[in-house]
Order: sequence, then C-alpha cells, then structure tokens
Amino acid sequence: MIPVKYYIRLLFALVIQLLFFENAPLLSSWTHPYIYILPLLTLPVPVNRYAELLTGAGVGLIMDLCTNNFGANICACCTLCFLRPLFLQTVQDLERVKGEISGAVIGRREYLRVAFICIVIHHTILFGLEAFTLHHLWKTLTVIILSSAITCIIAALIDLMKRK
Amino acid sequence: MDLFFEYIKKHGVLILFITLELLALTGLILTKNKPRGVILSTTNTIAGNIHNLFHTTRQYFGLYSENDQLVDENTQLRYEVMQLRSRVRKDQEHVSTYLFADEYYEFLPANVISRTVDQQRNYMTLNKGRRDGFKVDRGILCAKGVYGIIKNVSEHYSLVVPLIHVRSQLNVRVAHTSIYGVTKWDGVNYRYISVGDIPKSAHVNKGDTIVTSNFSHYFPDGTPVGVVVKKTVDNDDSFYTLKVLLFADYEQVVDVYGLEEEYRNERLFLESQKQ
Repeated sequence: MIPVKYYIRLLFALVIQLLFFENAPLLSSWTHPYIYILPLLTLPVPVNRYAELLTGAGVGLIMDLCTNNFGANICACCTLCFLRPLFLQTVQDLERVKGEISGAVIGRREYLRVAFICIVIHHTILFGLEAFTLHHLWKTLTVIILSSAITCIIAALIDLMKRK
Repeated sequence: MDLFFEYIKKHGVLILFITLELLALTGLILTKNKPRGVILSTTNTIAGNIHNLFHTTRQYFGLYSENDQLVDENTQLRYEVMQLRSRVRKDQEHVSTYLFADEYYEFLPANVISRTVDQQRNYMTLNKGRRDGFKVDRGILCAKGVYGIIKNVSEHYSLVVPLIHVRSQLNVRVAHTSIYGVTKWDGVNYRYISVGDIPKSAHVNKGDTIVTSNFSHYFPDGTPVGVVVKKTVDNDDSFYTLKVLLFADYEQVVDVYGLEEEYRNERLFLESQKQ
C-alpha cells in the first residue's frame, strides 16, 4: 500500500491547487498549471499498481467535484498513473530503486524527463477534454504548452528544494 | 473458468485502467453539454452515413426489378402513344379507323443477350421467344427507333437480323416527304447505313431524318431510322445515295420491343390474293 504521508502531500497539493491556482488573479486564460499532480509523480516504487491507479482516480475525482468538470481530471490522472511506471522503466531500472521517486534517487535529469512527459500527457488530456473540439486547436495547444512549462518549472523547483 | 481468472489477474491493471477511463469519459459526456452535443452530433452523422450506405445498397440491388417495372411502363406508354397518334391522324383526316388498322401494334419487351457488330452478317439474340409471343418476321424497336427484324424464334429466344446485315433491306422515306428509298449496309461501320435510289430531283438535305415508309410490313409508318449525314451522286448521275447515321447504337442497346401487328395476317392474306 501507499504510505499515509503521500496522501497528506496529495491533500496539501489539492488545497494549494484549489485555493491558489484555480483562483489566481495573476494567471491569464492562457496558462493554467496543475500542481496537484506533482505528488502523484513522486509515489514510491515498488507500489501496488491497483492502489496507484485508484489513488489517481480519487485525486482526479476530488478535483472534478471541486471544479465542476466531472470526468476530465479522473481521465487525465488515471492515464498519468498508468503510464508513469512505464516511463520510469525507460530511464531507470526500477528493480534497483526503492522508495520515493525524486531527482536525488533516479537522477535529476531523468526525473525531470519523466516528470515532463507525464505532465504534458496529463495536461494534453485535461485541456483536450475541456475543449472537446478541434475548432480552437492552436489556442488549446498554446495553453497546453504554457501550462505544462509552468508546471514543469514548479516540479523542478520543488525537487531542487527537496535536495537542499 | 481458471483461464478467465488467470487472464483477469494478469491484465487486472489494464482492465481497471480502461474501466476507470470509460467511467470518467461517460461521466464527462453525461454531465457536460458540449461533449454530449459533440458525441450526439458525431453518432448522428455516423448513423446517417450507415443508413445511407444501406439505403444505397438496397436501392442498387432493387435496380433490376425497378428496371423491369420501367420497361413494362414504357411498353404500355408506347402502346398508348401509338393509339393516340392513330386517333389524331384519324381526326385530322376524317377517315375511318379501318384505314389505320396497321397501326394497332402490341409491344413485347425483351433484352438483347448477345450481339455482333463487326461482321458482314451480324445477328442479335433476344431473351424472349415463342412462349412470350415473339414470331418470325416481326419488327424489333429500340428506344430510339428501328432495331431489326426477327429471323428465327425458339421457345425462349429470338434471333434478330439488324439493319447492319449486308442482306438487310428496309423500305424507308425521308421524314415529312414522299421521297422513298431502300436501306443497305456496306459492312464497314455499324453506325452508318446507306439509302439508295433517291431521285436527283428530290430535295434532301444533310440533317434530314429517315423514317420507315408505309410500304414496310414490319414497322409502323414514320418510325425513326437515322439522320442523313452525307449525300453522294451515283455513278449513272441520276440518283443520290444517302449516308445515314443510325439512331440505334447496336453496341449499346439492351432494351428492345417486339412488334405484333393486330391486322398483319389480314393484310398479308389480302396482298397474297393478287398473285
């Protein structure tokens, strides 16, 4: 099972997301980072895959209920949790890794690479489902790129802070 | 059963993932207007296309029966047109119906099932025979005009001698005139025949229509044959020979009609008395 501290982190990230990023006056309509997924990226290995998937679905469900956008966050978070081990496997032999995933454990560059791919996939699914049309494709792509970039920077900063 | 559980155990994560995704997408479509609208519109388009495909396919396979119906309808209409023409002429000329008895024809639909157009003696085979009312020496029409004459019949088939047969001859005239001639085919091009023995004094122009004459035993007077495309002077310098483009394209025609004249035997019997 997943240790309780990860759930606390997830709840904390959700609170920050809902209180700040969902209502931030500084962020324009072109950027909408989703930092609540960052604790999902750091879930430990080895981990029960069912628990990982259900945790992702639960986090997505809370976000959906709070943002009145049922389905989109669950879909994006489940995909992230399903694909994360596969991407981790490509950068590091997971049998040698034990515990929380971070730059210190698997290497900063590798961690950022996995985080970047997972964040882009999550944001693409989320914004794609929110738009649900190809009419404003360029705007949707721009929002995905800008939002993913900001989320990646925040992920890198948090990882840097952890190491210090 | 064991295999089933083993499969579930092996691919449980994938199954759970797909289930969660489907639930999430279903929730999204059910709760949001935009996705629901897009999905409904897309499914409507797909369903419409499928219905259209089925409809087109059904229509295609129904073409045979539709074609048969059209042929029957055409036959009936031709018969009525012929009757009406006869009545109009009777009214115009104030003469008795009996004089136009030769125009009471019955139309028997048939299809051309084999043909030759590249030989000196071309023949066509029809899919109708004695059983369907077809008899020897009856005229055959196609939609555009004269097609040929029945040479032989079996129980289910008829053999037709078309105008493009080197021995085929037909009494014709230039439409709306009393300039008469006889058709001949030189065996070269199946689209053209010649009409000879046209007196040099007759005024025939390029583009005039050639129709059957009332001397013909096979066709009603005025049935279209072709159109004049060239006029040449014969060797003895006293007659014209007309080159005529046939209305009937023997390479293309499939639907034809056999003609059965109501008073034919009476006419032939009367004509035989003079010998």
